[in-house]
Amino acid sequence: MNIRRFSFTILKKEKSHNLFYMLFLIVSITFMTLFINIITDEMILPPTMNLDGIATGICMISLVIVVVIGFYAYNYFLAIKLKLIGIFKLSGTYITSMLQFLFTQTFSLYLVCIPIGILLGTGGSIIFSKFVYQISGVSYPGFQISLKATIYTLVIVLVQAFYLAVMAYGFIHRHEIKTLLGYQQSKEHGEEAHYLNFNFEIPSWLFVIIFVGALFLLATSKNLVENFLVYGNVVLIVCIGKIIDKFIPKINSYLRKQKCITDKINLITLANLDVTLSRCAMLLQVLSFGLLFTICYITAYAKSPGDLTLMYVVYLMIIIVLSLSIMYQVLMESRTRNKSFKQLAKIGYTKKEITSVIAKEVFLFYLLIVFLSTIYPITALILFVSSKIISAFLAIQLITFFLFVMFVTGIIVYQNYKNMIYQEIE
Amino acid sequence: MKEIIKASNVSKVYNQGTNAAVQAIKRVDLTIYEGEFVAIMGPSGAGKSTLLNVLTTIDTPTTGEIMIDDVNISLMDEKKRSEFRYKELGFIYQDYNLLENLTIYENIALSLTMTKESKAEIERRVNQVAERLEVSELLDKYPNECSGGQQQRVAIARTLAIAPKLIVADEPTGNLDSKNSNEVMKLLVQLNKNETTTLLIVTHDSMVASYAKKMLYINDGVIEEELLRGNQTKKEFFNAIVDINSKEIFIEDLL
Repeated sequence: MNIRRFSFTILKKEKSHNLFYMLFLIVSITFMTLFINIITDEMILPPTMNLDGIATGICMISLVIVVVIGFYAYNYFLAIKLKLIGIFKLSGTYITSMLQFLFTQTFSLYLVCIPIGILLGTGGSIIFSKFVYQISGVSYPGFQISLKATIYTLVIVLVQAFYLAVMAYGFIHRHEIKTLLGYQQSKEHGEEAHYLNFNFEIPSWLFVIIFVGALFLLATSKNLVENFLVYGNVVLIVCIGKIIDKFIPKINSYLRKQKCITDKINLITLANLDVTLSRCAMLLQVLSFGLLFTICYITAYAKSPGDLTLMYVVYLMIIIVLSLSIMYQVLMESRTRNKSFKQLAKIGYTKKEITSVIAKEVFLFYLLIVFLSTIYPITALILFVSSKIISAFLAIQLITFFLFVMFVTGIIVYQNYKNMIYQEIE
Repeated sequence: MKEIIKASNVSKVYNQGTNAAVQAIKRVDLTIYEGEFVAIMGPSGAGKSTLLNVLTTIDTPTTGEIMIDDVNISLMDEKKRSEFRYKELGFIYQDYNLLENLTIYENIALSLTMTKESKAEIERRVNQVAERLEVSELLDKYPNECSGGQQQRVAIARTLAIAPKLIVADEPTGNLDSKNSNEVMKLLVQLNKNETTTLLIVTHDSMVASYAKKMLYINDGVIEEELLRGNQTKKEFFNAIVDINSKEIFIEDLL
């Protein structure tokens, strides 16, 4: 079998995994097309509502976020091929053949997703444009598909694909056969995690105190929007990662040893949750930052309908793209649990108990990420509403949309996780 | 001696009713008594692991009857089977099967957690078996921070913590060097002698099988030979096992 045909065979076999990656690709290309249309097409907004420098900058930042998260998602796509690449390397396959294998798979998926994404993005641009004209009271001149925006999108996606190819090359080159074959795939647990790059240890509870204390200070400050936008986001960037990486694992470890050692469901739930959370630390950091950042900008532009709509789109993009990435990451992590759950079934866990472990893990995971990522935005929104900077309706709308997306992705994760484990243990 | 497992006329067919149907074991009759140490040997694909899985309720037989402690397992519901597995059985595998997200302490404690022991009792028994198997210094580590030999000792510690009636081991020394293999086998023999734990081991290794009191040779899903150690020395028993294993290779060469 030649390498190209083999790539397609494997692509077919990993159907469910590839469907999630394709979904992510389509959504990210859709948002890329939409933002590029907004930046480059002068007719998309009414003449009275031309974008200022800040709005264009935010569109650019959003574009960069989508592209960067694309790299992150590609990492999971590659992670599932570790063992196969390891076997390739072990059997002395040329690096060119391995690259051909990865390129065929990656570019095939891109070929399918690019037209769908551009089509959806263009559709989204039409809806966006119509809506903005409507709320501005200017008659809608009709939308013309911007060739420039389509070409720019294609160029950005192709540049991204090129860098992914470079990443794939680095991936093959960098990893040793032993790592690829899966001997070192599990989470590294070590003392090193308790240290920063300084000569002294920063206790993890200090980050919790900073997190809570800063929230209190921000809530009592005068320039609410500016302070939340600048200081709030700095605190989130510094503290969220440390809380997930250091504080929560300590609490988790204490609970497991002191409270849950006699509870067979909670013991496994907490152990799995610890690993899942640490894998998503970076995404959660970006999510909490993105939420607070866009909420502050929405508040700042609340009186300008065009800008408000644009910021709303950015807000939707951040929530959808990041929740898809989190979903994808959790599902990839759950794939590595097949063996553990099979082992649990062998030593006497019933199917009902295994289902309970999965349900509790997914529930606690989403509860924690919703709590950690919304505590600042919700406080900010309550203060903005009570200071009459924005309406309560807008605040409720923003939070409800976030909770709705999290709820839907949580249900999808639970169903897929459960089905994957059932297939293994039955 | 009391019967622990009695299999009568047990067969297992995979993909039954399709063109890809495979009969893994064929009408096997087997009785395992309390305190026995039985090794199951045979070529790859002979049905050794299938037999082990069927005897320990992990897999269900297509036909035949299996009695465990005078209870027909086909009449047990899922809950009862699970209960039987965590109360009466201890598993040891070639690839250790430790849960990588749990610490060594939690891995050993898990079997006791399942039998609903108190926290103090769990702590006492985990420390006791950890000391006995010389893994005390590993208790706060994770499996991926331990060597193969250490992981297998932890897997045995997890099994010993509940003092099961029957220990089932599938190639327990398959991933270990000869020094660690010997240590593991000596531990198992000690358990069988001092605590009258029944042992059922699947192995390819004649040396490992020579520690047993009885060897069953399985081929094409059928138990072809049954060899008792009796009064033979370990070396004599080892030679007898090698003879049976090499007979198969000799016939293959002739054909």
